[in-house]
Amino acid sequence: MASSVTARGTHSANKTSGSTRGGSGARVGAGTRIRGRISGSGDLTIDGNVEGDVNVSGDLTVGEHGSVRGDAVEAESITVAGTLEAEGQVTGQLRVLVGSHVRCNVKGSISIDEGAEFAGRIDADFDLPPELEGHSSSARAGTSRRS
Amino acid sequence: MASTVIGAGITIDGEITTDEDVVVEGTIRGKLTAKESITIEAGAVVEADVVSGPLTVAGSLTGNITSSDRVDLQGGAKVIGNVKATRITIADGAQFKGNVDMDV
Repeated sequence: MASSVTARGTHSANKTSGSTRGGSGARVGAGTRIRGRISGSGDLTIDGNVEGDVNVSGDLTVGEHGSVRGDAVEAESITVAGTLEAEGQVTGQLRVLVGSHVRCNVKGSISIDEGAEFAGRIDADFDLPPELEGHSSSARAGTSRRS
Repeated sequence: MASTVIGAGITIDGEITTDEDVVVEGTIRGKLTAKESITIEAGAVVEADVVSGPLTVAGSLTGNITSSDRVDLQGGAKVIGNVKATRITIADGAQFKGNVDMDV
């Protein structure tokens, strides 16, 4: 069967883990398709296809061949190597890896690797540099695209 | 290790279709269809119609079961629903309410 992608190597380094997590991890394998809502505590790795909302308290990883198409997606951190398409809002620390295809509106923080495809709106909270302060009250980047 | 694992803290409302093995430790409501084996661990709650290969139940399952192979209801399992399978075992300590159709 397909290679299991549980790539969280570089990502977990800058993360203060050890938060209270109920339950063990979950994995949606490459040959699995879920239509519906996934919620709960713990980490979730998706190498299959998910159509629906995802809301987990832990880390969400979408593997190279995995895809998530839904409305709202929420997790502590979201690492995408495959496809993520959300009509609604994606909340969490989003990391868009090389080769991935992401189309969503993000609230939280985001990092986009070179070679990744991203389309959507980013709503990130950060302090503007002093020279820019006063121009716009909200630090909000518009629709951006990078490929 | 099974290819698809629904962990203890996870709840899925909807339809799951897979051609891999599935282990359920969490909660599933809806429909669960697998070509290979399904294992419903102790503590898991499944409120769904289940279509599978070999099925092992140690947790709680409410729904009709259709298995192309055998169904094992282990001690501590609680199953409410009709079972259609070629072979079935109901262990001492398993609770079961429903009809069994062994296709004879």
